[in-house]
Amino acid sequence: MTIRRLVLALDDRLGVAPILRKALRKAFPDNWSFMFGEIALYCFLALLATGIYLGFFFDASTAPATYRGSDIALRGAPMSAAFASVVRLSLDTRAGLLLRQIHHWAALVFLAAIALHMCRIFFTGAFRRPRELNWVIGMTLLVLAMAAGFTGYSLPDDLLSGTGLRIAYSVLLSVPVVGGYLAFLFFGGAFPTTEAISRLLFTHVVILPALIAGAIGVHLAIIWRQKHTQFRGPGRTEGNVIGSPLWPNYAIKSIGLGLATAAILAGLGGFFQINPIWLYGPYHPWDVSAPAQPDWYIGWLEGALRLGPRWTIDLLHHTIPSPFFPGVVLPCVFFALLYLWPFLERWVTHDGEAHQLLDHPSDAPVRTAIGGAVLTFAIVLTLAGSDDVQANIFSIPVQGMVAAYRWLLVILPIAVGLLSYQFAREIRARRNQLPAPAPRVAISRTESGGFKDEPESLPSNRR
Amino acid sequence: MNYAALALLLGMLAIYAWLVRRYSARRERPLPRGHAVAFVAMLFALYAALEPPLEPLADTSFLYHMAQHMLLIYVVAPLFLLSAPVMVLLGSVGIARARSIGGLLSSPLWRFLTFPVFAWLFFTVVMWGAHFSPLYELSLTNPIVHLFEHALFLGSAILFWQAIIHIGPVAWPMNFPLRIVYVFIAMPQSAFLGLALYQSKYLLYPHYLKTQGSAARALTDQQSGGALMWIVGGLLLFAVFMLVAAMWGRHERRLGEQFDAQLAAGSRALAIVGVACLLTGFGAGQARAATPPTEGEELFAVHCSSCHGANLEGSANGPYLRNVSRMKVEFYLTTGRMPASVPGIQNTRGSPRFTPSQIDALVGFVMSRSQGSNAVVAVDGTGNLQRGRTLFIANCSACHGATGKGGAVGYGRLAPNLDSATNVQVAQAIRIGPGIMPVFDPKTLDDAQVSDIVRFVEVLRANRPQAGGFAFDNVGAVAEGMVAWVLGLGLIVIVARVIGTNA
Repeated sequence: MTIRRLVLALDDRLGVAPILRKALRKAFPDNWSFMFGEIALYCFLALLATGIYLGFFFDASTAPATYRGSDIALRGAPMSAAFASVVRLSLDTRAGLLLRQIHHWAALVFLAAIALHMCRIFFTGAFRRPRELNWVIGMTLLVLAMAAGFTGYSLPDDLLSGTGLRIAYSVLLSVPVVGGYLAFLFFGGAFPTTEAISRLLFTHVVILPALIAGAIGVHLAIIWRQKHTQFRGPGRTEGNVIGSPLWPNYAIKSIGLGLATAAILAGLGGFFQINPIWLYGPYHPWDVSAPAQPDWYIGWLEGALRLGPRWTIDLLHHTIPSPFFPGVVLPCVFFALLYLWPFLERWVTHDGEAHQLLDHPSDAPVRTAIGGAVLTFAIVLTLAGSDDVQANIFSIPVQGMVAAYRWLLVILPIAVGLLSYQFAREIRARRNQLPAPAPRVAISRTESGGFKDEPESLPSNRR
Repeated sequence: MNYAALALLLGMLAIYAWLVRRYSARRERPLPRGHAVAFVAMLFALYAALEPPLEPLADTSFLYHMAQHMLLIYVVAPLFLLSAPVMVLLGSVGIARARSIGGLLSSPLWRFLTFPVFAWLFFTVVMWGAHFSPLYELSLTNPIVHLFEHALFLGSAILFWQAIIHIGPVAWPMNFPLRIVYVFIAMPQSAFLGLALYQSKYLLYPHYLKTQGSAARALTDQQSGGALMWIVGGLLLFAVFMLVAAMWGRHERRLGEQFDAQLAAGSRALAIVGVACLLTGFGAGQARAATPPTEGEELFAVHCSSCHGANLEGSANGPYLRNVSRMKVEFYLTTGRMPASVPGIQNTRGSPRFTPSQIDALVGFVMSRSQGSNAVVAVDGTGNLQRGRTLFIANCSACHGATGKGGAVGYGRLAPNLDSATNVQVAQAIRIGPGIMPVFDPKTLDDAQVSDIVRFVEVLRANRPQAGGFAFDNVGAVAEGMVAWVLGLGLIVIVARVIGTNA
């Protein structure tokens, strides 16, 4: 009733009824795998909501602080105001730890949902003309989300995140010629700097959320304008869209999914500990803890640094240190390949047609094989990023694991690529072949327990 | 004749021969000939199983296929183990490599795989699963699956037999009665599987309908294969059963002979000492050798002397102990790190093998012969928690982790989890530096600082606030990432699948 009155009042003043009616009846193709992007969207909303609360308690300062909270072991330890404020938020603020944990879990699931969504888009060929632009915006969202995750992870100034920040600083330094300037530009001096935390905070709570929100807006507007893709099916052509209307069918489903996402994130935050910084303690450049890992979405970069070759090149009086290749070159090549994929594929296949119907992964064996190989490459790097933890759990020497992962990094993507190519081709070939029915014959048992054919029931004698 | 297969077998023979040569050179004594004979016999059996005339027959007949599999399981696998591959490998490489191989052999994964209960169950599951699942039929049409099936049979059979064939280092040594039980319960398992195949009224593998020509012939063939497993397999296992029983008898007889020999030698030594005393006229005070040994001496002789030497002089397998400190002896014995199961591999924490009074006796005996320091650590619980945390992070967390859960420190060495260390053991470890841990002497950390660290580790173990819910034993970001994917995104995707459609 209220909604009706509100809509009537709006229509009276703005004349939006025709537009709204058209918008609410817009058809959305229905497939559960089309909702992965929405999961990411709802995680982003959860991040905004919890992040606002955390912002009230965070002190972005590296000034020395005295901690007097409930963790006795930390009292009197030299620490920054930033770290002290996060420990206070975690252990002595009502609902502080719950919301911090929901925030962190939401960040991990946000990135996971983006990765899954990207795989869905890639393997079904949804990025093809006319949707290359939205692929590029989606890739940008991935990069922005990774940046937001890393800056947020670095804010508490604890032992673990400080180590991560130092690695990032060193990777920046490794860029030839401009590395030193870049590092100074971002950190405002030689590590550790007093500016780092306040710059990270501004990036994390203003710049990145604004960019992400803007990019999401454009992403959705383009989907609205171009209409959603659909799988092949009865009645579906390149020229139509068959699905449920936005209101009430699709909207109710989507709202349900949003509420479920919020519930599951809250459940994770309430029941599972994440990043217990008070156990790690404040960061000092001379302290270190092992094993140390970044959040999962940075794991592949960590793995690349661990597996990277020991090349140090002197070129025209400039040293190119070894972290440059795995730390800078590899991610740049990786992201360039992903950004340019729609254009590369069009260039190779000469397929400039506009596509509204999605592929089954087996429709494009080469694309599926390359996607599988690149995904495997990233997974092996991620696993290599936690080789010390695996060494500890399985009692295997770390050196052996590094050697094994270097081999696997080459062999596994090729093997997965070849296998998925073969599987895709076989599935495509078999799609319309029905299996032959199994032959049925009658035989009788002799008195001595042997078997005898019934001549009249042999297949050739049957009708 | 398949030259590729022949070349492969000859290659295996060449590698084995090369390893045996290195083994003999390093150990300065030849390998017992039986192992090499077993290896050559294994190669012949392997060739017989996988090459003509059996192989083409196995493609068309279940009976011959069964014969092939039984060759792999009951002949090739045990012969392989009898050729002592692990022992030859360990003996033919340098100490560093032997250590890394030994690390693999004592890894939790390997210990799990070779655990007799698992090995038995795995073998049984493979046997039944392979025959009553699409795997068998698939293996008849796809050579790669066939290869996989053979590898699975051979691998599970090797796991099965390694539980009772003990040559070289064994993770789970079983005594003879247990080995007899192990084989005994395998007999009905194998017989029932054979019987089930023999009794089946259905053609289990339609492939043979084509190769045998008629359904009746195919069923007869299937029946014969089942009978082969039931009767021949049963007889083979029964033979192994009798063999193990016979070996038990021989083992007991040898033990008895050894005991007799020791008794004889002991009485001879006593007699010599007695004669010497008589001849030299020494009094009772000089005849100490004849008095019964103390408990510590006896324990040392039984459990320690084989590596550390009867007079603490050490050997290739264990260090010289004449200058060992009291803290070191106490630490290694109370943490169960000594006696070591395999020399040369990092000793990990376990439950102590001796009672506290036995440990006291051993420490007393060792210290009576050692010139090392008799100092003990004083742990009074007065340490300062905050100072302890700072010292721990500065000195210990690089290896043991800020949460004290331990970590890998390279070359297969692990900094252990501190959860089960007692206060005294923590203090002792700081002072003596067990394994590759550095020694922190009083110039580096004074007694007050040690008790600060001990206090912090005590709180770390028990009283640190574990707020925020289930903590995954503080593994950190790796566990968090998995939970985010499986419990977080996984559950949400299930919701999406339930409310969404598959159109």
